[in-house]
Amino acid sequence: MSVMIEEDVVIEHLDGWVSIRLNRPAKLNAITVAMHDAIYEVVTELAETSAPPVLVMSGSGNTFSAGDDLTTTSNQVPEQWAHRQVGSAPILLQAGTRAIREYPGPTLALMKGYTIGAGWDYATSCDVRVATATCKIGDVRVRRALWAAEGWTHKAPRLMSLSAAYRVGPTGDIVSAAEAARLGLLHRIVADAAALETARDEVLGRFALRDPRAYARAKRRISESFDRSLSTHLNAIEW
Amino acid sequence: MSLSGRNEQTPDEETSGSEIVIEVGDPETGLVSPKEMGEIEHRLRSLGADPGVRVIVLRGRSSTFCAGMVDGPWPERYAGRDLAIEGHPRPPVPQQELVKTLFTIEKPTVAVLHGDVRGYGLDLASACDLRVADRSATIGDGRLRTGGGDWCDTGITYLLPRLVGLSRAQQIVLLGDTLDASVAHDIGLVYALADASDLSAAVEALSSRLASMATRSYGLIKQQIVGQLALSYDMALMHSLAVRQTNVIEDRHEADEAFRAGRVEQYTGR
Repeated sequence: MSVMIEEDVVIEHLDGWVSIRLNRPAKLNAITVAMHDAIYEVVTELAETSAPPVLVMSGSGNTFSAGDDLTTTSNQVPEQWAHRQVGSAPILLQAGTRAIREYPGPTLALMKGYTIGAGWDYATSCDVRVATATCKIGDVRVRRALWAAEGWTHKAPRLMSLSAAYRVGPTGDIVSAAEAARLGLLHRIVADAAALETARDEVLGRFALRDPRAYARAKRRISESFDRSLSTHLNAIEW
Repeated sequence: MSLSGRNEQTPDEETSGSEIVIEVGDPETGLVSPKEMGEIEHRLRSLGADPGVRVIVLRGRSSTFCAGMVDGPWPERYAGRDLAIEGHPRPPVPQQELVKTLFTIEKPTVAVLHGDVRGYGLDLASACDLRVADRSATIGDGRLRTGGGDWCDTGITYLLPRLVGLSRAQQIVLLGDTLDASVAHDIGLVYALADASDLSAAVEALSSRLASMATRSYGLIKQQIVGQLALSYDMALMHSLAVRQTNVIEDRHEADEAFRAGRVEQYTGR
């Protein structure tokens, strides 16, 4: 896995944050099962540290990710996942995006170019999304007659709305950054890729003002809140 | 596909191969009766099970998509559930059954909104996947008004907060604000707007595009979206895997072949 981490997913430990950069620019950062595994491994490891750093997901070149690498198949699933693999079910994509979504620290997606398919799955798993004005966003798996069983069908109606989930999901539409912001998906839109770094630093500054334990708790509870009543929600506080 | 209306009070249906148009409401009043609800619901069940059906469009017969509902005789199959109690309204069985079937049917559904969409018309529109509106349409829910009060328990209190957020749902249902179509579009409730003169063409273009898609794929994605509204994230991931592993999409082969050949997919919808 270390080769993959170095080549296709670049992990950099920086000052208070960790960069997870999808690094297959010639393939529009299409994500292989090995990359999902690499992301899963590093994120679950960081999640168990005493002070989980901020995670920043980005893509090399001109795009975040154009989606799954459909040339990789289930027989390339790493050994440790083989016992769960049935057919070509997206076990590792679920594991990778779930690790990001359930990560206790802050997570940020820097979106540019295409944020499609698996890229959309990772972006919708982060806490904050910043995109360039020219970024194109959508799921589009329906165009390839796929199942879309990666988890966004749960996340999208809650992140945006049910009407927005239909807009971006099963219709196969690709929406502009401005449209995605209108639907409530994006938190910042910036002019270009250079401005993404300025926006990243601004968001990192905001995250630095957050108490890590309070953040982890609020993040988990916001996510859980949709699935129960207020009484149940309040009674479920863990001390 | 033609969008011309017919003046009958049964669910008109026009088909152009795989594109189904169902007309709703009384041609004069725009109100839908329990009998008509039952007929549409019954028809939807068979359409949902028909692999040849690729898209279902709901449109109004009158000067509106649907102005609400009117009481009347129920379809025979609901008779045993008509537990009317003195001083209380009849249980909204036909209303609820139609909304449930429409919301969960594994086909793309489009509501064509024109005129003043009100009350149960908003429930029907909200139970569809997508809404296309005439720019001059207005959308609202006057059911809580004094004197004409209704119990508003035919789906809207579940659907609207999810479609537009709790705050907007409060504005529409509790405060009784009426939205212009452009505002409904801005908040995401309406997928596309068209001038009245272009509405039929816009709907036909959308219907045609949806009908060319991999309908089974669309239906399974819809099954996940709808089903997972009431599931935790953990359970939703399990649900997705179950859907993925227990459903065949025949068009997958065509997707791969078209991709390899560098051509546009010709999906059957199966």
